[in-house]
Amino acid sequence: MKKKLRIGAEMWLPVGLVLAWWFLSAKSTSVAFPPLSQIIAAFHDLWLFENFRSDIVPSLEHLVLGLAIAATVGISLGTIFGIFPALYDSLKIIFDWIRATPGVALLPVTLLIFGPGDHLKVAIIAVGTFWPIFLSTIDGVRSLDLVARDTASTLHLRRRDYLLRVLLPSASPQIVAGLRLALPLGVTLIVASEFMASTNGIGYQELLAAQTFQTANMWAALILLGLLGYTLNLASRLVERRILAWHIGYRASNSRTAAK
Amino acid sequence: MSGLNRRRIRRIGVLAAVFLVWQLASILGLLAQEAVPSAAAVLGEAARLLVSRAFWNDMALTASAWALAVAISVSVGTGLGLLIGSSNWAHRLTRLLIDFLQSVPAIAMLPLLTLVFTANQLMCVIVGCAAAIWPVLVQTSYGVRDVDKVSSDTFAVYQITPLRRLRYLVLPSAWPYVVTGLRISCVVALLMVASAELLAGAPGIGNSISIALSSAALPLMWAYVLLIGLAGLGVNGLVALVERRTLKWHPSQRTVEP
Repeated sequence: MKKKLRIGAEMWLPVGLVLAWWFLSAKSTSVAFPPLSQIIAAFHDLWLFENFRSDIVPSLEHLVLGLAIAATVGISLGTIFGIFPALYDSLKIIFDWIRATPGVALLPVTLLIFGPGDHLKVAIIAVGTFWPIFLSTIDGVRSLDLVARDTASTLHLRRRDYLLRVLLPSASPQIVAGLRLALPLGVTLIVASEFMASTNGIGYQELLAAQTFQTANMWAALILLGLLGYTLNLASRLVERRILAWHIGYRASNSRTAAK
Repeated sequence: MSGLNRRRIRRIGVLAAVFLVWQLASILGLLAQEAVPSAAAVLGEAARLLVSRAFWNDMALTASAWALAVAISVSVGTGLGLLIGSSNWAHRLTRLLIDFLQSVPAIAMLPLLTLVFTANQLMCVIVGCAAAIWPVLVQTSYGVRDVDKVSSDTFAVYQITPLRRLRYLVLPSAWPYVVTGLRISCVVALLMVASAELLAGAPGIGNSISIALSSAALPLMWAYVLLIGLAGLGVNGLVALVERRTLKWHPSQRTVEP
């Protein structure tokens, strides 16, 4: 009951704003801001489920594939560079430079190297989201508790056990944080790549609608992208809570003892 | 000091080595010329750009749009963050909305903005703010909520005025959070400004990249990409400076002498 009440209180503002949008835009004749009723109708026509297969599925596929590549390469290379700090320090200037380059500016470069097409989109996401994953993995590996490391070496743990049972679990909070940073960046990059060189995808549909002044369709795509971003964000938060339950519990119990 | 110098020399050496390998790979024909021009050609173009007026014009446009977006995001974001963080009620009421708005990819606003405005700096600033305001806002409100309970009670018992409470309790304890938000915001704002320039044609370095691409001037395009990365390095350096200056007292900034 209490929880219901709380959710009710939290819903009040979003619902109020949507209602305000509905009534304020109802008589709108502006090209850029059509009535919300038209936008919802367009949303229904476009995305439920007319263009689901042709545009939503490819966007998501490229996103997932790109992120998977970035995560695999980023976590493995990050572990290696984390174990050998000297290697990381000497190449740091190169990493810093590439990381400081806005991901979208890498789009033309990836376009030239991979050519237009689906693999371009996967490539730009993989290249762009690699950096947060890679760098936070390095951070995680380097912040390994010295006692844990020394204990492992005293016990002569096999290298495999050390890696899988000591090093990676202790780095996992940072790795997950990196993945969570990578997710919204991936969404941004997929939209950017669909604006630039594409013939399908949600971003492409949005741009096409804007260029042909079908603004209700444009708004529908914008709302879909918002919902998509929100859902992915929520999902990643849930996954984080699940994977890191031990870590969160550990921290909570630590701070409780500290408070005593 | 000599250790620092040695490290700097080593870094420059590594950088030179990378460009050398790049140049060798081009000479040996390992890199497709129609995608990756030789390092010498790119660096030559970059050097030419660095002394050209047009480049610094572009840089000024990009930098000013970025600075304005960051300034607006930081002032509005910390203000709203302070308000939202200091009232449980406001926090609950706005939580869902802020959660939703911050996960909307700001880049998706570009087609809308091109309809409403022409592709200009204002557009860059708006899309920059649309992305950069959230990290500051959310971090600030976390920080305000994380004020130490005992200190907070102490301030209440001594009936210290709200303004002093803000100055001596809330801001100092929230500041590390604000700076974390600032760091993310600075990077995100640059990404969005560059996107607006590159994808929607607002004037600036991003736009010059896309013009160079469409006129197939590859060394020029690569030079622009390298230089916008340099601008990004500058942004990171600036944030690091702010961190060092304003968080001197914070444990995260203490370094242990080896």
